Amino acid sequence: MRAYQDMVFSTAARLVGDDRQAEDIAQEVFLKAYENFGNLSTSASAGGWLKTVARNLSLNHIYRYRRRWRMFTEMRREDSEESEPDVEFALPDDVLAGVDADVRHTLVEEALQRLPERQRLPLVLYHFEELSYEEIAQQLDVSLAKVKTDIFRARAALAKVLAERGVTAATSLGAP
Amino acid sequence: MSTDRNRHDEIERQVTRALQEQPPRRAPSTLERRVLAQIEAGATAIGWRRGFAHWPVAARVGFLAASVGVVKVALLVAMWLATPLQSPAVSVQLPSQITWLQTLFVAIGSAMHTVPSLWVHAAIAVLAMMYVALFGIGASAYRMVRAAH
Repeated sequence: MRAYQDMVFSTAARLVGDDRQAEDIAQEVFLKAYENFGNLSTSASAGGWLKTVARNLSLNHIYRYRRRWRMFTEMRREDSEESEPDVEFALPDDVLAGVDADVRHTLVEEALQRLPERQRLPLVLYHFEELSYEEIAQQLDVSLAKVKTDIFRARAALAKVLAERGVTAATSLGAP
Repeated sequence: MSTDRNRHDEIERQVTRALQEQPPRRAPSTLERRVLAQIEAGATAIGWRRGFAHWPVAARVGFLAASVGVVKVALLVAMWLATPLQSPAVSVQLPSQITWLQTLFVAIGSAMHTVPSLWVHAAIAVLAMMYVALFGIGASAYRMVRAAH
């Protein structure tokens, strides 16, 4: 369990965006693993199994308990008519240049949590879960174009937050 | 247009790099304790609280036999109440508060005796089909609603 608990917790925390709920989900994942211990103990793909279960339970949790996607669905038409997001902000060569690695990691996690769920979910599924656009569209029951747009907007929003916070952090750390 | 494209590519490159460099988040120290406590609680839980599938085979067979027995006794009692004329002493022994129950059973029993058995069997078959149809419609509706979300 110790070998996988960070991975399982990370998957849940980044998807649901709430540490307490992520811990509940991680607990459920390991209890399911315990029920299937006979198969998993000899399987080379135990890590992949745990990650998939963590992802599915997190998405189920979002669908079942939060119902935010209902609001998202209602906003879908409005969103699709929106123009491209504002990317006119000062973008340095490296958004977190001169920032200590630990601070950098914390800043990225915080910036991820600040993204709206409709942007964070596809972004996390794409970059951390390594799903294709098509798989994300299928998982989230949205169109392929919607997935691409949301990931594009999420990247822009994330870059903007990191650029702003990176400058602040670098300044406070005394970087040039 | 080309400048925009370059800027979008640059944003994608930087964000991708920042996310790729992210290590897994550290799980709370309470997680392992919680999981072990749950496993321990599950192992020490009383057998019948862990669901029918986890019961010992003997207990499952016994439970099914007892259930069938209870159903049989219930049917015998219902038939016994519905035929008071063959055992008049019984009606005298019943408490006055439940005589209405006996009257009800007698009425149902009398009505059943006047209905041809073919009709009864046909009615039971129709009810069973309606139940299956209702179950099917419910399951289909659930799938449609779920697919819509």
